[in-house]
Amino acid sequence: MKNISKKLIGIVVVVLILIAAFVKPYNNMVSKDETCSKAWSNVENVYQRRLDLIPNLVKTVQGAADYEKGTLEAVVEARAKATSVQVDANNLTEEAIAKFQAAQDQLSSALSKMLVTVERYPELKANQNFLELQAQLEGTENRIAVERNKFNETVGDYNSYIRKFPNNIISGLFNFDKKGYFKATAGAENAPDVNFNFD
Amino acid sequence: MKKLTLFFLFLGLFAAGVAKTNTDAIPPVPNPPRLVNDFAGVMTLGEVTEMEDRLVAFNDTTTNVICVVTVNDLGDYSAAQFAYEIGDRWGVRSKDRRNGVVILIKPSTGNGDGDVYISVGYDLEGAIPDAIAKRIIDQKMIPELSEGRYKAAIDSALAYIIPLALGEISPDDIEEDEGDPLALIALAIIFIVIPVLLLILSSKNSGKGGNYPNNNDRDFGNTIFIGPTSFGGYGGSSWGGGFGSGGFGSARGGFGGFGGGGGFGGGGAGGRF
Repeated sequence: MKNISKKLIGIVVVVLILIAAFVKPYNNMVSKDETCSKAWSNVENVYQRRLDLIPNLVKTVQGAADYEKGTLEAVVEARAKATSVQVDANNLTEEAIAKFQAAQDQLSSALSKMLVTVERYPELKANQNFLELQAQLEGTENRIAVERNKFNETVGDYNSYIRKFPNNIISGLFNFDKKGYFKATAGAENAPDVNFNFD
Repeated sequence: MKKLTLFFLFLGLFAAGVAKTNTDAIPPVPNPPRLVNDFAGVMTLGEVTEMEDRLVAFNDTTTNVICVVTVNDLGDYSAAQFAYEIGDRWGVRSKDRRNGVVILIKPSTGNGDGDVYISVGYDLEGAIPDAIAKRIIDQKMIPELSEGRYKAAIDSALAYIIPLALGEISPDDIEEDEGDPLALIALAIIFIVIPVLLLILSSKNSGKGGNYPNNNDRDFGNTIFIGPTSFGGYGGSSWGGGFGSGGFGSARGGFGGFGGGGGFGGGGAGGRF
């Protein structure tokens, strides 16, 4: 009888120690997970900023005499598509982010195509409204680059934390899944480079 | 033979890696911290000092940090990235506001174009939107820069940036934040002196009377409990904010130092000349 209760106490102590050891990593995972969601919402904000700029930009360019319709339509279409692809901040999987990035990158390339053709329209280059929209777009592309970088850093920190031993046991138990990154896709590094040279 | 080739390949890659880290074009934080850093040497010493004094005075009164940097080489960075990195690594901002501005100029040397960029910290993005930064660069700076008048170009930019930043955070805002010193003293009396007095009184009572020792003990405990917690909450919000934001920390006549990283989000505009 005495032996059994001693064993019981031993088991309880071991379990308590294990629980105590689990609490800290678990809480760290929760806060790191939250930081990722926050970084993601910053990414969404800057992309949204770009989506909001485009209607004005398109309207201004449309005003220019017989501007190519095809180029503008490509931008409008790509914008509609990019608007429809949303990612849930609680579900930042690799596939979800890859899909989001693909839609946004398509918009980037449609935009840069449009801005290249703009070179042929001197009246646009002299349009103050257009120049300022361009400046805003350029700033937005810079912001996108910054927030994407920050997001990747945050996710990298989270991913390596949940995969380290013994944290991987806890992350497995409580379904802390690996999150996706933004990847430098082929040609994507050129697409956001909206370099306006109007000399 | 194959192994040897591989070895040299690795050696080459390693050397390339080392070389890349060594030639990072972003200069380290100036020590002592300075707001005007003419690494390219496009201004005279007198011009630099005058500009530095002006920006330090602006920092003292408004906490806005405007940092001017000229460099001869941007390395692998674009002007936008370079200015962002300076802002982030140097920590161009005040301690509790992300109110920094970096004005970066790379002079045109030989065949290379000149680059100019105004990078704006998060909290000033509303006061200096990208379109305005672009207008300042195109209409005010580039005409001077293309003539080689660097000091005049920066001065004309500051003539716009300073009032704009002032609209966002003016000296009035700072005074509000620091709070009235008299109010601080009054609150200190309420939260420190009175509880201590009560403590002394209640302990005296319990010593002389001694009729209801249990009751008095409970009062004693309550007083201790209330005093420190109220003070703790107060100290966290008001004292901390007041000292961090003001010009208290900075030494008279010099720039007090940069506030820390994370102040920039990629806002601003640039141009070439």
